[in-house]
Amino acid sequence: MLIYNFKTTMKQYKKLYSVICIAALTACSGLLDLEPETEVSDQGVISDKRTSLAALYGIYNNLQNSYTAVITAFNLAGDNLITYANPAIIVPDRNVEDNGGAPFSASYVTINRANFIIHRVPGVIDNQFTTVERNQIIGEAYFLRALTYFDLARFYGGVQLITEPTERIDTHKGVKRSSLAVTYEQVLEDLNQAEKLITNVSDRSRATIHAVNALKARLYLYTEQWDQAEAYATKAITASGLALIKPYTAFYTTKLSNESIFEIVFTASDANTYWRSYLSRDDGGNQTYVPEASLIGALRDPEQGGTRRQVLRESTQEAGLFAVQLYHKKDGTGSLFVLRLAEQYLIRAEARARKANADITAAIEDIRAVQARAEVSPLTELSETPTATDILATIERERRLELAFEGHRFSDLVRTGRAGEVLGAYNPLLKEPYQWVFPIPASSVEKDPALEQNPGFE
Amino acid sequence: MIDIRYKTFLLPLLLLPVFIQAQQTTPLVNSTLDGVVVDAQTNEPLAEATIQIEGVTHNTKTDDNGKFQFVTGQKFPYTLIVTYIGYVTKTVVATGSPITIELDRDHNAIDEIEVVGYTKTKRSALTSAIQVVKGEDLSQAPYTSIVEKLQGQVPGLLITNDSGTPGASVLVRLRGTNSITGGSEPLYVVDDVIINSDNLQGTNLGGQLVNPLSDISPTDIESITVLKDANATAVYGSRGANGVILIRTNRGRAQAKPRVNVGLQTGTSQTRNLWELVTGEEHATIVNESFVNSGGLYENRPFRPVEEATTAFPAWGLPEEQQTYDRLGAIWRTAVSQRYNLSIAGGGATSNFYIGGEYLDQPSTVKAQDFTRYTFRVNLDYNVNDRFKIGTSNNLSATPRKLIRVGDGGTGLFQAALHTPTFFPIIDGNGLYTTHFTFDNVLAMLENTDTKSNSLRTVNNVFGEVKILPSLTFKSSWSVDYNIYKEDTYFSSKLRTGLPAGAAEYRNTERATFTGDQLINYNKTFGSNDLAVFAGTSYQFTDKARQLVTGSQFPSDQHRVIASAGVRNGTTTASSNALLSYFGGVNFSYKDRYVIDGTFRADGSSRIGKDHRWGYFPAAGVNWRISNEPFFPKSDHVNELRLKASWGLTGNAAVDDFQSLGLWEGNQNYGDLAGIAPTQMANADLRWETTTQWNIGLSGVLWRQRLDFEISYYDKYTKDLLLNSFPVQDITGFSSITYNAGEISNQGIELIVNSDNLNSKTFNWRTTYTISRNTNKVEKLLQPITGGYRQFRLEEGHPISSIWVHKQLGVDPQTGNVIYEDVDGDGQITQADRQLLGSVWPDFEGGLRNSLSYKRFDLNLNITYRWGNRLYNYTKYFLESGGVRSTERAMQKSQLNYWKKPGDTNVLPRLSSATNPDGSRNYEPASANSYSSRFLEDASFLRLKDITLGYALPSRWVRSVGFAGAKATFTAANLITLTRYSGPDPEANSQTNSNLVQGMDFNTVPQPISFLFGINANL
Repeated sequence: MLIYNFKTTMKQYKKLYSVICIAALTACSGLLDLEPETEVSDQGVISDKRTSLAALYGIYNNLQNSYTAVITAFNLAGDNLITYANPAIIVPDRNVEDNGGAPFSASYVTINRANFIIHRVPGVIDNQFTTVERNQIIGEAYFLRALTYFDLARFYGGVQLITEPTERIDTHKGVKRSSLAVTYEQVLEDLNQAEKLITNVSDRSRATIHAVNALKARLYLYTEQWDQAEAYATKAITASGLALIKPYTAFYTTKLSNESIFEIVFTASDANTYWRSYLSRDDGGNQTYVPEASLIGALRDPEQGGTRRQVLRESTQEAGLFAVQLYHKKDGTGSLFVLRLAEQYLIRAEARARKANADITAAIEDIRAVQARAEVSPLTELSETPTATDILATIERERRLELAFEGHRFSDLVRTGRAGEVLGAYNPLLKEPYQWVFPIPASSVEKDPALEQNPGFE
Repeated sequence: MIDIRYKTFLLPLLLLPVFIQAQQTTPLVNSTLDGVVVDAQTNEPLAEATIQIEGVTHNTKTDDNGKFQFVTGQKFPYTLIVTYIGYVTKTVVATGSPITIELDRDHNAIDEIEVVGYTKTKRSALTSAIQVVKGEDLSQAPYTSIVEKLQGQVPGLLITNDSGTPGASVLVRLRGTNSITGGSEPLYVVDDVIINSDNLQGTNLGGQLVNPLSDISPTDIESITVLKDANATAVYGSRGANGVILIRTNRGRAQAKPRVNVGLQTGTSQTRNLWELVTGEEHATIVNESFVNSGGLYENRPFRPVEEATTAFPAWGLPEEQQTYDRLGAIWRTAVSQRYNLSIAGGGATSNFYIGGEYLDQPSTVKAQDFTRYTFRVNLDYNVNDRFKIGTSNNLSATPRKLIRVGDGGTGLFQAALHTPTFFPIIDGNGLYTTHFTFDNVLAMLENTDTKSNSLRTVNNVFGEVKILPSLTFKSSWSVDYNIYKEDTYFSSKLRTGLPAGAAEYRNTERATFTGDQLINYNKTFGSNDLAVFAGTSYQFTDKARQLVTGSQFPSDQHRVIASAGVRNGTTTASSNALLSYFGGVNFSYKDRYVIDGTFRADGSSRIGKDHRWGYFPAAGVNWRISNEPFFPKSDHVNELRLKASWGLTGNAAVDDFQSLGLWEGNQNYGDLAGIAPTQMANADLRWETTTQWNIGLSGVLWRQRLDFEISYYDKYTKDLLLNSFPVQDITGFSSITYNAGEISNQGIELIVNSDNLNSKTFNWRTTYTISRNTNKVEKLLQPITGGYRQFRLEEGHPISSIWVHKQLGVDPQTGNVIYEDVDGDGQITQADRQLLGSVWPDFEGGLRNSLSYKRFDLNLNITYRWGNRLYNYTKYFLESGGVRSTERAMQKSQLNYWKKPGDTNVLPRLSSATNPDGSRNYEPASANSYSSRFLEDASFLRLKDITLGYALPSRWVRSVGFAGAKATFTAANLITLTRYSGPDPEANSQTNSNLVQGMDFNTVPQPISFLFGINANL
């Protein structure tokens, strides 16, 4: 060890600091031109196919962290998940010092990394770099940027839209927040680009064309463009290679299962740590987050939960304590599930029930598909006088159970205007519409005079 | 006789007014006198003493062996006047040859030679603010590093012992904080070697840091010189921007009989005055009340019969069923320390040597923490001939430590011991560790923590000095500070971090700093005027590398080496920086009354952007020795009076390497796919941070040298303040950048008084008193910056580390709700109502040292004090959380005094986490971060830092066992602390390395009370 360092250092030292320096000033200033060893200076760092791919993986790398925060913050904001330490708080309210862990800065890290790809990769000169490969990389960056802006919009409403990479401290100075509509337009625009460029259909750990369609379906659901939502959900549902798989638990016990459309993966050498927050002390977890009582009841009810009850496991050490098994892999190799097929069925069901010429029968077919896979009995039947209200209540319940810990519940209730009623029952502050978006973290607002806080949180 | 060659050198030289050359004219020879001048006490020869025959101009000097020879026309007997810096001038009558002249040390010596940077000068000729502390005056308290032992001795030098863990970090600020992230620590120079004081630690110990200066033993110290103002530090350029602490280690003396010194010291340390926690029943009662007050249903209260448990609401049993478990008591022990040192010093005609070794074993009072140090020092000097001298200084050390994460974080020992609720059992029915859902089990931690580190360090210097002409010297000095810091941790599967099957980290961090200094000195005396000129160049290169290997999935907790791990990962990092400097200076002294000096330095740093790489730093000073003016009345009251003033500019570039470049980093992997990402934004405009400093000082000696004092005023202004974590808008995709973001000012006043209260043959009493005050203000800042702990803020118009909280006015006696000041008057308590409530820094601080001796006994008392400093008691924030943290956190006894019924006053607020009508909260639920001023406390203190009683053993006893002398000492450290602070230690500081957060007490190990017995003998 000693020799290693001395050798390199002494070499430079001797070379640099010679007697010449005492006499001639100019000869010595070269002594100060050092280059970093661990990092690479940013000029021309994306220079060929290999570095383009590496920079793309760099986006996914950040998504591993930021999407963990997305899911956790949304789960805790709703009435599905509570903290073990404070069981009295079913639904927390938020304030400017405590925004419930919603990511803000981490999302822009993803966006900046995507912006570098979108702007630099088209100019890369490399004979080994085919157009298809190049387009796939750029398309993925568009998809990841779309996903990130979509989640920012779900948390905060309209946000600052940054589509250029950051080169200097003042690159984006003074950019103000866009409206929610404009933010969703940006998401759509990025998804349109991704749709054009992406050719990947099989690697679910990265953006596929199916993932683009599925996210589009979700976007149209949120923007209430029901026909489009139905059309894109149908594209995902009919895609070859995608299927609802049995049992229910298979989608999270199997990595990159046939039900998965896009999941963020981890490996033994790049392991996650969030499993600790969900597993009970039986399994070496910290049981930081535990399911809410009424959800436990519903999941364990054969008429509602079916086999979905298996996502919970009762603690042997502590009677009555249930731990979420979705992220159960204790070596940290469990995935984050971003898009999967069951959600697409429920998106299509809702779109079919809400569209101008509501197709209740088809909507119920979609619901039954999801229920059947979960072996719920009996399945929802088409009543003689079907009302959209009943169907929508069923869809809301199905979404709560099927997608219980995947970060949907809170924004579903906000989207359908039910947040005040459902969440407000637990916490009166949630009756106030200002609580239906998250406050931007105080530290972020402090740093950026152009960034306006959400009303009610100033 | 200015030699023509001198002009060709263009190089000025250093003034050593002491070295007055003898006029070597030899007239008629009537007598030849051979003699030697020695120290009356030690009998060691004194080189460069001046011997003059009364009544004539003829004088000579002693050589390195203290010898001199006079060949004169005078006849015996004649009178000699012998002068030597630092000694009382002596007049002797020479009646024949040879003669031995003994000189007595002058304790109030104003003319001691001080080493200031690259030069030496008489204290009376100093234009700058410097202070010297002798090795023997250092505190005897069992501190492991030199700097801790300086506390209270140097006005303007603020030293905070952050924790009671031996070898842990120390906060050091000289004359306030004038930089935030550009490094605020002074520069440490040991025997001309600039040593690294930045930390190589990689293991997360929850805020606790090891102190790299603990690698240097305080045993070998001869003296410490603190350079305070810009003129004094100017020759160190940018590295000296925060002041310089020069440390001289012992060297042998020429022609001296070898002196062997043996010392041993042993003692015990204990921690007292700890937190007092509630009982299990009290805890349960408070939590239940809080639960209901916060809106929970009574039938769901956490502490109710176990049978009533439901899926969402666990039941812990009724309050009266709760037991109380003491965890805090489990982590402490009485620590027994031992230290052995042995040194030999001596010299021959042409060379001298010092060889010393020390072994120190100092366990912490916290179990599972040990500090051990082995050091070995060799200092050699050799005079090749009259003109050429070479020498070397070498320090080798090995510092193995056993460590445990004490502070912040769920896996810290204090969280486990202090924050786990007292009702929660430690061991379950089967005798196994219980696992609390937030914290590790305290016994599991104590019994299974396996964190070790070892610092292997060598600090070496070689130099050669040649006298080109009698007045022209060239010195070439080459140094290396090489440090390997190894860290080895195994997290057992019984610990949270080790779940599910063990985890291990092994770090090897290496750092090498090479320094080469070339210096040319010229000094000349013209009549009673002295001129000194110097010029030089310096190059410093630092290379740092770390290898980290991690493992997980171990087959068992017995197989702990990473080779056994199922999953292994490795990574490496490396960095380097360089500094190149040219400097020069001149010092001119006129008639021993007026001194003027000036220096100029150019520094180029690799850390600064290419376009702004070179910084130019001038400094100048004057010294007026008023008492030497003819008009100054000679009196017994005022023996000496000096006025000095200096001005200078210093630069600071102590940011991380390569901060001006935009960088992409690897290791941004997605699964097993190697990724890269931009991790640092470029800042091509990165510039030097510069500080302009004025210093004005008055010093004097009064009443026949019974009392001397120095008072200084300084004014510092820092521009282009470097912030390495200057926040940038989140939309950039970066969180921060290194940026020149503001301006800071510091003004202060310092006083030191030394007094010989009593001075007799048998009884001596000497007192040193220091006091200083510094005021700090952020003059300009691009935007306010909130600290990592959000109750701390940096904002224009306020001091660094200002507290930013809601000001609590009291508790409403009717409702029991907290009352915060509604600053904007909107009836709601919001973020806008937070206030900056001043800083944590003291208004005054200082020390008082008393040294008494009576016959064979001597007694030393060191007192340090601080007034007006404050601490944010973050431990209390958690432990007085009103039960809203339920079963998650412990509470301290003071929590019991809460509002219970209308009319209660002087209480903590009503137990509730609910939002009050005005938007405030009485207590914060676990995740919220809104801070009340009730945790901001006055932490003024007066501490009897140490008291040492020494007894010189009678020589007939000592000689009978073969020694020349021996002394026994008994020391008590931290015996008494007077403070109103409610935490265990008013000196606590849990975030030493933080940029913005100073003055926070969070789970800090209090300083122990120690008793030590030592014996020191020489032969």
